[in-house]
Amino acid sequence: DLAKDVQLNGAWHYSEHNDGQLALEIPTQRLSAVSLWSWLNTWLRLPVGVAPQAGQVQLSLSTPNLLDNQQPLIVKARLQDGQLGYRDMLAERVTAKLQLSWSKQGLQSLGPQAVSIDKLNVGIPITDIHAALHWRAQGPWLSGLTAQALGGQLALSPMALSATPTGELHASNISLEQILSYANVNGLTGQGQLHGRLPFAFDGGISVTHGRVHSDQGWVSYQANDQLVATGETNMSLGLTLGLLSDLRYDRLTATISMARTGEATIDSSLHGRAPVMGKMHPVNFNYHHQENLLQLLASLRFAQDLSERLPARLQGESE
Amino acid sequence: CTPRVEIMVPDKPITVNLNVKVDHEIRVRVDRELEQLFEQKQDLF
Amino acid sequence: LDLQQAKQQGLVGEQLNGLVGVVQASSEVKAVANDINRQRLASYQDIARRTGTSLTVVQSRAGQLNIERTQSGHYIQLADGSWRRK
Repeated sequence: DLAKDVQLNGAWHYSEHNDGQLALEIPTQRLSAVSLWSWLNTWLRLPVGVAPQAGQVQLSLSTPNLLDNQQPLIVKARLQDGQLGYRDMLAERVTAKLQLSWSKQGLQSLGPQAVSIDKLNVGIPITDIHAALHWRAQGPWLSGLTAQALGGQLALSPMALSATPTGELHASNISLEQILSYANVNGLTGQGQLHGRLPFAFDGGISVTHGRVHSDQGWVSYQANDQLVATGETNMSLGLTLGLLSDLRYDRLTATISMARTGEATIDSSLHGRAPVMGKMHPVNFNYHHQENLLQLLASLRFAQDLSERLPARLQGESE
Repeated sequence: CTPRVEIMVPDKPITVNLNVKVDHEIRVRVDRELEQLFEQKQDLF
Repeated sequence: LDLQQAKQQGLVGEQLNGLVGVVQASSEVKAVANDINRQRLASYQDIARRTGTSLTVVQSRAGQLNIERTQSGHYIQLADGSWRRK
């Protein structure tokens, strides 16, 4: 009886064999993920803020001799229909399969350990997350992770899951159309497939440096509201920019992205293609510098999803 | 013949720069105000 | 009967709209809930005005924060309107 509703029943077997052996056998049994997590939390330093809200764990433990710490304790655990909360974010239909041997040398994984999450909503839904883990002497190791988001695929390079992991996110076939819809600017549409590599580091928060994105053959269109169009008539450069943005077709888009742990991000992009100038399609180099706190954007997307009214973000822009 | 004035648009690419800064302070301000409210009127929450 | 006691006894719970909801009705519980909600709405309205956004937005965000801050064991309202102990 480990805690209020965390009971394990199994069998001890003591034998005189070579100065005493205490074998333990706990056959597979079902536990609630919530109560198991709170029990584990009492003696294992589990990540703060992560709280399972549902889920069934099938657990089994066995060791030939508990008295000899060279002999490993074999732990087999399988999580099904898990639901994990982290602040105002939720991971739904979480499953995991872990097979570990625990001995004096620490945790060793017996074969691949798999974790999958059907849907994680961080403001933008990330779906079909599949991760393969591995316990090594130095600790847990992510051998690979794939997921779907924004109409494309995400993948994480293998990395150590230390307290301050660093790695690289690979993105492919990301839909420019979906990104622009999340940017939530009226009249702004576009189409294109983005591919990129975002080196990141986690140290209390995620930071991205020298992120690179590119896309070939796409378009962007901004239908300005009447008031902006009127301003464009008297302001030459704004008028030129609005005209150009009404139908900007790019052959090549490249962008660099960096984001601080606070979420403050800058995106420097350049689009080479053709756009209407004086009513005629003309070769154009369009350099677009974007500054935004992406974590606040995601938070307001999570926040706004519960209400029809999208929170207006104030846009200040100038063009030269 | 009528004189024709044609604005010769240079055929080499035109470069345009656009800078945009998006500010999410409305939601951040609502959160800050609510945190203060929870602090000041604890008997209400 | 104050709000904390009502929550402790599972008589009221935090709703998604930032207001207190009655879980087990009685005239006294209703009186407490109405009084609390009247004062909360006045504060939410004030925040909406000062931040230049709508009362719905403030209420919805307050609801989220209240539910996040609710102690385990107390009642919270789920998206489908049903009550559940956190």
